[in-house]
Amino acid sequence: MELFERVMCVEDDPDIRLILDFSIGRMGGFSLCLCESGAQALDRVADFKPQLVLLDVMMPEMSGPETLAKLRALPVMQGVPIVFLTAKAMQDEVEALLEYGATGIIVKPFDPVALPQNIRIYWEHGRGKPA
Amino acid sequence: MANPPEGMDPAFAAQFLKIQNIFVAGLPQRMQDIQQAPDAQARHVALHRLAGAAGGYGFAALSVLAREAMQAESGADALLQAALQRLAQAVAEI
Repeated sequence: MELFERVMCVEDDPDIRLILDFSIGRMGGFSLCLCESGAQALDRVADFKPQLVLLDVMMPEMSGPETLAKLRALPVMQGVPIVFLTAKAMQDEVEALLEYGATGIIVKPFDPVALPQNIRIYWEHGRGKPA
Repeated sequence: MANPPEGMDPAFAAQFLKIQNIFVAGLPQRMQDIQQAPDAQARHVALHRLAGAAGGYGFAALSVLAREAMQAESGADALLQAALQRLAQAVAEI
């Protein structure tokens, strides 16, 4: 049985990276790869082999949707759930984000206590499925 | 100062308070970035980031005020300035 152990988070805001590290890494006990840009995520993904990616939407240079498209093209990312992390919570905005091929959306601000369980649910339901 | 989120294991609460302090220490700079943004897009991004981060650190009211300021961006300048003033006041009171 596959264990869920490795999570990659791509987030440009250092304060949110800090709380992701606390929530997913320390409280959740996951092995965490924190990236501050889409480019950094693309550099690290082959070595880290994430089982789930949490991806911020609004980032400079390479946006979340652009990063998602590039990650999805990589063999190592086939069947790996990618979940957008966004402060955009309007229904039409959420639907537009899902059309990019994301497994789901976690809305900021998120509850750091609930986040590890929420990503586990996305992993259980989204892993192995084509985008 | 806000308390740790409800349901947090006490073993983690002290660590949470430490990172919460880091966030609070950066709030004046965030507010300055909002007030002195070179253009509307930069201000929007700074408000968006504050709205996204504040709630996670236990400052739900601050997150709401940042969202209200974002909504006021499309309206009259006086409404936006009033929203930014409420936000600045909330930051000053933390």
